Amino acid sequence: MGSDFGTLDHSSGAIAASMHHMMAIDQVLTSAVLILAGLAAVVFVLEIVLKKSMFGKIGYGLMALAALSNFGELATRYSYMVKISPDYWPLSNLFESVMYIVVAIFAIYLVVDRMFKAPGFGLVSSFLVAIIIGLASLLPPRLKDAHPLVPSLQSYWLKVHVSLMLISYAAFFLSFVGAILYLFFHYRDRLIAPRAVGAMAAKGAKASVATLAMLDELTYRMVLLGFPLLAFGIILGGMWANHAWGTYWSWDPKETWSLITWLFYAAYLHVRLQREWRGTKAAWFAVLCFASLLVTYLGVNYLATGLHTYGKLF
Amino acid sequence: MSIDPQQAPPAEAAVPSQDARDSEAEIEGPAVRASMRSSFVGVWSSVKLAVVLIVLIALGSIVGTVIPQGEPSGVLGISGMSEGAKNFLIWIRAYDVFYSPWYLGLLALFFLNLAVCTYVRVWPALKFSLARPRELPETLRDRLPEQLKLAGVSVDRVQQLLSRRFYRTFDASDGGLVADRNRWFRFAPMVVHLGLFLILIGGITAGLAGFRNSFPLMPGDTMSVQQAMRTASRRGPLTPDPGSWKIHLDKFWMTHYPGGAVKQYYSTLSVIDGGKTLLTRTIHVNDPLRYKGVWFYQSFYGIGAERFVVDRGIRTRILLTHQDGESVKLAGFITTQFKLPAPRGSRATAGKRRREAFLYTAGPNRPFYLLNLANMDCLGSLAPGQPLALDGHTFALGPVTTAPGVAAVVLDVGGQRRTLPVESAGRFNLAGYISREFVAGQHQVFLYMPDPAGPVQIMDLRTLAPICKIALHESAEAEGVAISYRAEKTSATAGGLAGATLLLDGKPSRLQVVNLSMTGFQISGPASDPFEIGGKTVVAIQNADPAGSPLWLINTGNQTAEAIMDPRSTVQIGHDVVTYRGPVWFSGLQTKSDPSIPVIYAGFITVILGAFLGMFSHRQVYVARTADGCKVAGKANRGQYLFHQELERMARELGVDAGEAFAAAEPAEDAPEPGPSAQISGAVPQGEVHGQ
Repeated sequence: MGSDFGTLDHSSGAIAASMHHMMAIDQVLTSAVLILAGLAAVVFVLEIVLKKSMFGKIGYGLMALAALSNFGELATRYSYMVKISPDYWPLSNLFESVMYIVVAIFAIYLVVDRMFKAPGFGLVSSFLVAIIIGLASLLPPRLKDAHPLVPSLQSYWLKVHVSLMLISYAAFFLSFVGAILYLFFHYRDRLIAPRAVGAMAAKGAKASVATLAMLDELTYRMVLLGFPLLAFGIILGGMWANHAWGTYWSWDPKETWSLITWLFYAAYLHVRLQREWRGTKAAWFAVLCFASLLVTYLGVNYLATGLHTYGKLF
Repeated sequence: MSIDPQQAPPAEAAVPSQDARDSEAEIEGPAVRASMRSSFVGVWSSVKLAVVLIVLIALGSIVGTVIPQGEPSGVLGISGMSEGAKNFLIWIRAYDVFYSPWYLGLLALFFLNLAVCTYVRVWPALKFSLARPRELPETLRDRLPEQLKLAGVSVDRVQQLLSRRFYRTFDASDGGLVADRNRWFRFAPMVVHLGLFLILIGGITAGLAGFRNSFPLMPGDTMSVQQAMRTASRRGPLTPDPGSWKIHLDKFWMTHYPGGAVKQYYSTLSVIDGGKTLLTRTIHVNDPLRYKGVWFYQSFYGIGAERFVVDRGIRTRILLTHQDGESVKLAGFITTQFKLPAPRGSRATAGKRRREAFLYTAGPNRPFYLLNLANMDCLGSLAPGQPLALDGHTFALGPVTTAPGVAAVVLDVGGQRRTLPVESAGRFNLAGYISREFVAGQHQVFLYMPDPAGPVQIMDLRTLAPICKIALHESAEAEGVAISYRAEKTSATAGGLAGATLLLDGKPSRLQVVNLSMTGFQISGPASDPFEIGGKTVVAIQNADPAGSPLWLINTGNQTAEAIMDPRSTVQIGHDVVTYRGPVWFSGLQTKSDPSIPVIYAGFITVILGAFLGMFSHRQVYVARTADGCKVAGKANRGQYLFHQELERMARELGVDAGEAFAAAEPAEDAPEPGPSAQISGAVPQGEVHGQ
């Protein structure tokens, strides 16, 4: 609005005031998510150090509360902005997309953690999520403040297409967590455990084999979840593009990179068909796939401008 | 090529143990005959090849996102790259990756691989899925990754429990059970492959029998669909004739947010066939019109024309024919820039950076325009006795000093006529004027004019030594080149401005004036062809952001702004009183015909469906009757962990301690180890090798 502010009428002044109010609530809720996720990480550390499963339950509860705050944050933005722009959905900038992914991470985490009792899964997830939110809250206001959507984004398609993409990112994020945990335990046992634990190694190593198998499956299952979601998201994007301007695919860098990421994950699923590629190699492959996902999500903004550029970090 | 490990032929599972191969073959039935392995089918059904092709396609696509796509010039524009590398990139068509022969070749190989892979696996898999689950001999059952003993539990109870958990159960010949769940989910990867094929077929169909075009349409104008097809950027050789109907733009408009940003834009379109309006509908972005298989999308917009009223009544519409934007180098004078004061009575912008502005005038005795430096938007005009009120401040024009200056000289150098801008020689501590440098013979030289009415001196730029002196209308030879000095002044700027005084709220400030012939000052934007107004030939150019911004009327004779007009403003040009009524927007429409839509959409749905079905695990359970109860063995194709959890729950439901049940099935310490996939029972496959 800037220089034209003096010419605005009363109604838009009221909008500005209510926007200010909303951003204050938003700030509080974002901080709550950050603090709760950070606390959860601390509690998960206590669980490992003190070997008390009660801390694991507290950590899980904190993650659930963080998920609620995160949901509240997005709901606040939505409930205010929808009055200004009826087609609004909290996906108008980088910060909102981060919070959207994180709420999906929380949701999937809360389910998956009950299925797989993977050691360190809560700790690494909560720790990384806290870092992500911390970094996101440092974004400049132009990438944080809620904006009305530009015409090309005002559509139900946006809500479904981008939601699916971001939920798939959340699943792939958790597959990445599984993969790095796998690699951690694998190399710890390989490099440290035999020497340090000596005679106890046989028992310890056997426990680790079970852990590694579980983490390998966790990674695989998260890819199996993200893969169809990403396919669905990409395809809906193509259908939307066809509906909005008559072409499914235009090799826009974001489109191309999301296809590249999908291909990398397809390659992951196919290399797993070979037994010797499961485990360590597959975990490294999952890390590589996640790197390509990061390029799709963040890096593409530096490659070119297009419909999908939501904002550069710097 | 299948995501399912057990449908991979043994040849691909690089050196699996003999046991693993036996049990695979036993459970799955023969996947690929051994004789095929070295043949064409064997090579092209390889999963390794599939992975290599997928990764190559992904890497090739990365090239297409890093190198600017379109023309070879995009590659040449990359900085910090050697010529050799650029030539290589051009040779591999890195500027047009997605249509390059090697990329399309990779795609072709990929689809060949996909076809063979799927074909080779689909029939055995179908036979396997249709048949009753095969029974396994005990030696093979013992090698399955899940083993548990259920003491005191009858086979019947296990069967009931399995049925409740949606397993299909069959009685085995030895009194035990064969059961499985999610058998058909094994086809999920093949469903994805089928979907990819449908998309491929759709894409080829669209390329052969569709067209795509985009065009601007002014309100009241008509576009025939045949014309749109004939001029299409992409048109397949088999595209059918769309018919003789036309599309007519009744109306185009937009809506805005309070801050001024465009919210949405709309076109009301009519379909006209044989002079009759058959259909009228309003479209907007994300809401196209479809008629007889041809789609019209709201795609872009712009200013197509400007409306003028000259004196009373003569309305004119001037088309902006140069939509891509023309640049006009302006003549005239600008002042040095200055900061605008903060608007009065507004706290909102107190913290904002103050805008910078400058004044522009076409020449002495012409109005001054106040221009925003950032976007060249015109904020208003000033003339002696005509102050400008802006943001609560008053801007007035004070004394303007003129100098009998020289703006440029016209020279004939070796037969070539050239006009050289001239600047004050003050920076050399000399009186008079110097020109821009130019080349005469081997040397760079410039002109020095101590007195505008006297002769010019040609000076060597490097040594600053005079070479020769030429009087007006005479010639001389310098550095072997004949130079004649024909005219001393250009008409437009003769008698230039030297300085101006701006009174801001009554306080005077002195501004230095620069002659624009010295600078590269230019404006650019969508422009019209030249037209006559008030006896002068002008072009209209929309310089700043089009929404409601002023229009520049540039006199093509002397390249000065004849007027900078806001919508609905009036100005006298020559002997005409001209009113600018504002812009006329055009609607940018994208049109296409695409017979492949049903096929592509079917492919889309198939891929999505297949990918989601792939999340489910095919679980197989074998139950054998033992003396004290029964023994259960099992495996799942998407990892054992969750399957193991299910078996644990089942054991608990049968009233057996799960830990004991799994431990009881574990081989004794001294028992001979049967093979890698059977070494470990329970949820623990060995190391990185999952016995699935």
